[in-house]
Amino acid sequence: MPRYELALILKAMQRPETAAALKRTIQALMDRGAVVRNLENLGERALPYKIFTHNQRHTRGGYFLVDFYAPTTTVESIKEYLSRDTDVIRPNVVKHPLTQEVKPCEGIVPVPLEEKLYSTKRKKK
Amino acid sequence: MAAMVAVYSGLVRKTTRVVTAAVCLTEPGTHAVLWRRGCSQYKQLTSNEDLPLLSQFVSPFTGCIYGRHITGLCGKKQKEITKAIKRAQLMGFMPVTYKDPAYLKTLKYVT
Repeated sequence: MPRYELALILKAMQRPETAAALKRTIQALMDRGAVVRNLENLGERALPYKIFTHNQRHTRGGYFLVDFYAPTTTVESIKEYLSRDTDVIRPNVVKHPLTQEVKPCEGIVPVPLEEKLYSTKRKKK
Repeated sequence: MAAMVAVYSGLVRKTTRVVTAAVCLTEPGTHAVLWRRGCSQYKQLTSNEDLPLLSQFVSPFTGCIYGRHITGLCGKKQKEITKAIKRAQLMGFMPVTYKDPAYLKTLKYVT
């Protein structure tokens, strides 16, 4: 079952450098005992806002999605490693959305207001 | 309410027109609802992929998330959508101060 999803935003670099950075990230994930299931490329696009990291200003970035299974204790060390990497603009480890339960929503339930019109408290006499 | 507004507009002469114009939009008792839809339509919210869905609940001018009186959603779904929007904005998928121009014209009810 896919447990975690890493929404990775890498610096806008040439293809071989991006490949090297991805390889490094996935190697780091596997070193900490994670099983990488899938890697998706969402393309290189303009960031929604200018991001300042590692004394640099970024306007474009490559978006990647990595879903992997990982033990709960290693998630923190993964986050710490990714924050130190200079090529990574913004790493985010989230619980995988497909594992969340979907509860049907009943909508806005109409409340009977007539019962609330008069207070049911007994007045002391 | 109307009497108070008249007094206030009498005192402040420069901004008289602005005050009365602002009040005329929504009278007390009727709340403006931009669109209403049943909550059961939205099953699952992923911050990455559902950007056109999430952008619908954001103002195109300021980027503010619309409140419950505008969207007409129930409590649970409003909370879920707010959380998903904030998550997408923080993770670097959705702009904060404005609405993504690619999704400005989605008026269909995206499920």
